[in-house]
Amino acid sequence: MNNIFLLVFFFIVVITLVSDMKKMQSQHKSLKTLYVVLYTLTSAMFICMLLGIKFLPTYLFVNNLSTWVHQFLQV
Amino acid sequence: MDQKQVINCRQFAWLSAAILTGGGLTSVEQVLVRLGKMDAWGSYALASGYAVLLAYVFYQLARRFPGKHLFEITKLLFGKFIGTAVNLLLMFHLWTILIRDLRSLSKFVAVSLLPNTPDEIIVMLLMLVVMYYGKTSVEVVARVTDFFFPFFTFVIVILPLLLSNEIDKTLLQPVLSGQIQSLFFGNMISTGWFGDLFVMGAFLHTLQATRQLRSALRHGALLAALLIGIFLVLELLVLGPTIPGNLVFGNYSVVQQIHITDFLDRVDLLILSIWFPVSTCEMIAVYLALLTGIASLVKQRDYSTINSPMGLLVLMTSLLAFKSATEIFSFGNYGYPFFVIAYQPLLFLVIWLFSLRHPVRDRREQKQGQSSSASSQAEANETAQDDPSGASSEGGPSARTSRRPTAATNRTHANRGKRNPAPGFLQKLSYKAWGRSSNVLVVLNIACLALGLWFSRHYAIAGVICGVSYCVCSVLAVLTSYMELFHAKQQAQ
Repeated sequence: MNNIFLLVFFFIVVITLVSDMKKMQSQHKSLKTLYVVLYTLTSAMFICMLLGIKFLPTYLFVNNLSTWVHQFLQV
Repeated sequence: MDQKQVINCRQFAWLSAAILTGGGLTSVEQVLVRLGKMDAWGSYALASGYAVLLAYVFYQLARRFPGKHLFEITKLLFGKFIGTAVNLLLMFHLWTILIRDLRSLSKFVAVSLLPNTPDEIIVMLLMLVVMYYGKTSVEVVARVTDFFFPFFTFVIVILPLLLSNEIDKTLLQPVLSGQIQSLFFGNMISTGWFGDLFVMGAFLHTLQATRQLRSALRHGALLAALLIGIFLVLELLVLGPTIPGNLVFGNYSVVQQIHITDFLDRVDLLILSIWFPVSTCEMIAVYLALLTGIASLVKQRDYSTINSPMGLLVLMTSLLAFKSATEIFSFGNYGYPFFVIAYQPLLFLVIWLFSLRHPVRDRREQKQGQSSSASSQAEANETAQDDPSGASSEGGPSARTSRRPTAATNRTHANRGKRNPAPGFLQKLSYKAWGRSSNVLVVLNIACLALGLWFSRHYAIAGVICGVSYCVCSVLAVLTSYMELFHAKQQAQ
């Protein structure tokens, strides 16, 4: 993964977190929870990317489903 | 963010068309040409029919649940738990569209314009644009599409003229001589792609007049089928049936073949500057639909708060989802259409059947139910204020009698004073007649293909006649759906 991208992404995460802080105080509780959940997921993905762990369901599509459809269609 | 979002039916139609054409420009045609060979131009016949059926389902949903979007409707139909599960499936679908288009467009940009820029940077820049629009509402992206889509349509329509010196009609012959099975599979793949139309379900609440909604969806889908069909025909006429099957970006390769003079040798760059905003609008619309769906999980409509974490999550997952360009296009061309075909028709059939249990309601009736103490004068004023498109929903017999348009709706109506564009003898045709004509033409399209494939084995001329009839029917279907939209606007007055 490109180092410039990783650095820029990290800064974008920090900047958006800081800029959203003020707005978050006046938000509904459920939205706040959703916001935290989504940021946690994003951070987890970022860490996975740094560690080279890949587990997304698209692999199931690409490796199994697409291959099967390709063979079925006899393209 | 403004809770009330309103777009007009033309914007709705063009946004639908942009959603279907935007993603299809950078992929899918390769597999259609591989399957259909020189008959690949007939690959959008079943997809058009599917889009018409989907438009009917959305029309019925909008009649029964005015002012609600698809995610809210599924919760009302199936209850909290099953409704949330269905919404999660729909959101997963939206996410797959988004990562597919984000990565395929970034590959396209990397191949055609920025070969030395890392893929991650291109994806990130694209996603930042999408996130910027995520702060706004669908109204903004509808206006941007409103600006670019006419240019986009114009460019595609004049492409045959620009490529006239490169066209070899013998490359299409013999017409409709392939296998029925191959063309059927091609049609199923494109039907999977046209399943993207469900994205507009997230914006059902933005267009209150249900007839306009149905007509806009139909017009958008038929227009998209025609535009992508033109591209397919041009690919075959210019490059033949073999080369496009091996090209990842066949459309771009066709555009690169425009050689009018030395001065106009790089027309492709000019055309790219129009394609790119339309493809971006498509991604923005999908992203807004995803945000709407996620916000609906916590019963909210204001999604601006979750825009930044969601955008970053989509960016990260899109990069983690695929390792190479091969995986992106393998997913987009084979796995994704199969996934859509496997679940979507069945799901929307169930949604439609469940919706039949609910009575047809009118937006005004709903308001009356909510505020029974309000005076009739106040209600009239409220309706006029809440319906800036000048359209009231159509409903059952009781709703029909209570839908007398107010002076305010007439004043604000977009179609006021417009002359009927139909030729003289067709001006008497009603909204229903135009709608039926579109339906008949869509069915005729499918029939032309079937008859052509059947009879061209014995009579080659039958294939040519059916092929020409298919083209004429496709163009007429777009025109009749436009007239249907025109009358839907007039009837709302």
